[in-house]
This record gives sequence, structure tokens and C-alpha cells, in this order.
Amino acid sequence: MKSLHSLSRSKVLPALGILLAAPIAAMADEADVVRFSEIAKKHKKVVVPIPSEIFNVLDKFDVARNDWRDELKVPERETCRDRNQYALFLGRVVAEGFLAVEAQDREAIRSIGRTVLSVAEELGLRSAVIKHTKAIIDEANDGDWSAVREEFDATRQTVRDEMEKRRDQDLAQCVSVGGWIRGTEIITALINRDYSAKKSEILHQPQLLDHFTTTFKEVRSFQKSPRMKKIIVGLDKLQPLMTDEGVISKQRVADIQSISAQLRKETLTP
Amino acid sequence: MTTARSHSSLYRLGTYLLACVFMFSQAQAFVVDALSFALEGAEKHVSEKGGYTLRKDFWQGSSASGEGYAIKHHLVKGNSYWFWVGTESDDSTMAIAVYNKKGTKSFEGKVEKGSNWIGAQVSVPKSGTYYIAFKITTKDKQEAHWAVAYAFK
Repeated sequence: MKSLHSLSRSKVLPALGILLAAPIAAMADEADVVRFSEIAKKHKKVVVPIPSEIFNVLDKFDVARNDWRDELKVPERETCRDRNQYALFLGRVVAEGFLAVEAQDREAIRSIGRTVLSVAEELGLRSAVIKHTKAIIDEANDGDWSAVREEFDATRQTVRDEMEKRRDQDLAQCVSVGGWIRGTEIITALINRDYSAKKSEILHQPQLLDHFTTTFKEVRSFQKSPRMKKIIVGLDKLQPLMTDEGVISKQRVADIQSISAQLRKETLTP
Repeated sequence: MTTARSHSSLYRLGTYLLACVFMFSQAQAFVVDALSFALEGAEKHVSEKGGYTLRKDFWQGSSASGEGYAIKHHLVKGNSYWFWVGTESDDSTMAIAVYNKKGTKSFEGKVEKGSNWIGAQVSVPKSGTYYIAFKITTKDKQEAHWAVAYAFK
């Protein structure tokens, strides 16, 4: 019979070693894994995709250049009543820029570039934006369409960064929403030309809508503006049409198009 | 006339401001480091050969060692995405996963790791909001500064 002493040496210590090592190994395993339960309750604002992410998918639908061109509504430089209006308009103009890239319309891009610069000037952002608008016009002249698209993305990003630096987050949201409304109108128009459930899938955006609506409702000054109120009402109308349940039918696409077109006319133009 | 007390206050204020500047530059340095590690992961994918377009924006923050964190992101079906998390904390263990809003991880892509970064590729089955979840467990149990970048094609 082995003594307790010999047992501790031959069996207990290795056993203890295993017992101690197991939790350490488990801890190491845990560090390799991040579970949903660890992050689910940490609600953060949703990151809004940049237009290029959406247009990248639309590229795969092989939309004819003329179809893009038909949807183009090159906006003229307009005088707005306030900075929110200018920011909404700027978002809309940049969205139009992406469309002009798809249509490969040099003249439209040049005109949009000039309008972007002039609206940026009204918002005190001329010096930040001028390098982008110059590049947009140069690259459009060279026919480097992917570079033009990247430059429109960069313009949008610079505008948002500058606004956030100046603590103008509300204006930055206006740029996003202005672009999103016009972007949604463009996408729905194109899907309806040659409808398929595969294409309409891109319109499942309930949490994005939630994000925009919540943000707009939180800004007290927006509550006093009839224009902003219209946007909130419009976004609320779009919410049930753009849920993530089921297929978005041709009729629903048409309804989304009609609401976003109305929103553009009523809120994105002075 | 400046009193000894106000001298002392001024001294304290000066020290405080210096500390703030130091802390700010330290924090900035952490972010720059974390971002440069994230971009190290991105490098081969955003090259001409990789074909991914890098979004010129990033997200940053800090979290306790071993604490899960997530970026909530609208992902579009039809795109392939790469997300990279970088940290300045050496010898840390990093984890990454992409979940849908119900907590299902049903669209596993590739995962790549470097010394201070981890990346995950994902193509979602449905357009919608997803959680880019990650965790950094540092060796010294200190909080980790991180930065997240992503690209798509």
C-alpha cells in the first residue's frame, strides 16, 4: 500500500495540475470566443453604409446605362432657407452624383460637382470640399468612373467629419437622410423597371429607418420645422414597407418609390 | 498681485492641462496604433489584387480586458465584407464573430489573425443589421484600445 506521501507525489500533484490547468485552458478558450450574450445588450447606433456599398450591389444587377440616365435629375444650385435645408439638399446632390457616375454622364457630373461646392460654401465647408470637387471633375473628364465614385464617397465623408468636428451632428444627419431619401427613390425606380425579389431584397432596411427616425425625433429644433416633421412622417410611412419580413413585392417597391419621390419634392428642394 | 495660493492654483491648473494634453496625445497614439494594426490586416485585401474597397472611416474605443463589444452595422446582401479589429495591446488574445439581430452566427466566413489584429470575412444571407462582435483579452488585464475598419467588394 502506498503511503499518503507517495500518493501525493505520484498521483495527487499531477491530478491537481490537471484540475488547475482546466480552468486556465477554459479561460484561454473563452478569450478566443465572443458570444452574442456578451454584446447583445450593448446597444449602439447603427453604422449607415456608404452609397458605394449599395451601388456596388446594384452594379451586379446589370442595369443598362440608359436606365440610370433616365432617372437622373440634375439639381440646380438653389437658395435654401436655413442650414438644415442646405444639408438635406447637399445629401440629395451627392446621391445624384452617384447616379450620374452610373450613367457615365460627364456633363451631369461637372454640374453636380459645381453644385456640391456651392452648397458646401453656404455651410462653411468650401475649403474642405474643394479638393474633392476638383478631383470629381478631373476624373470624370478622364472617364475614371470608379475614381469618381470614390471621390463622391470621400466628399460625403469629409462633409460629415467636418460637421461632427464642429459639433453639428444634426446637420450631418440631415446630409445622410437627404442622400438616403434620394438614393431610395433611385433604387426603387430601377427595381421597378425590371422587378425581381432578388433585387428588392436590398430594400430590407428596418433598423436603418429606425435609426434615422429616432435621431430626427430626438432633435428638439426639428420638432418645430414643418420640413423635418414631413421627413419624420415619411420615414414612419416607409417603416412597414421596408421590414425584414417576407419578400418586398413589386407593389411595395412602387409604394416606397412614391413616398420617397414625394419626400424628395417636399423636403429636399427649397 | 498674484498670491501664493493662486500661484499654486495656476501650477495645479498648468499641471492638469499638461496631464490632459499628455493623456489626449497618449489616447490619440493608442488610436493611431490600433488603427494601423487594423489596416495591417486590411492591406492584402484592399490591394488591387484583393479588390476590396476600404471605407475611409473607422470606429475606435476602449474596453475592459475580456469584455465583448460590438459595432452594429447595416450589411447589404451581394457584398462581401472584411472587418478588422486592431489593438495596441501586445500579446492579447482576440476574438471576432458576426451575428444577426437574433444572435445567430450562421454565415461563417474566413477569420485571419495577426500579432495585434483579427479580421473576419462575411457575406450575409439577407440585407439587414448585424453585430460585428469582438473581444480583446490582454495579458496584463488592462483595458484595450481598439479600432475597427472594414472593406467591401
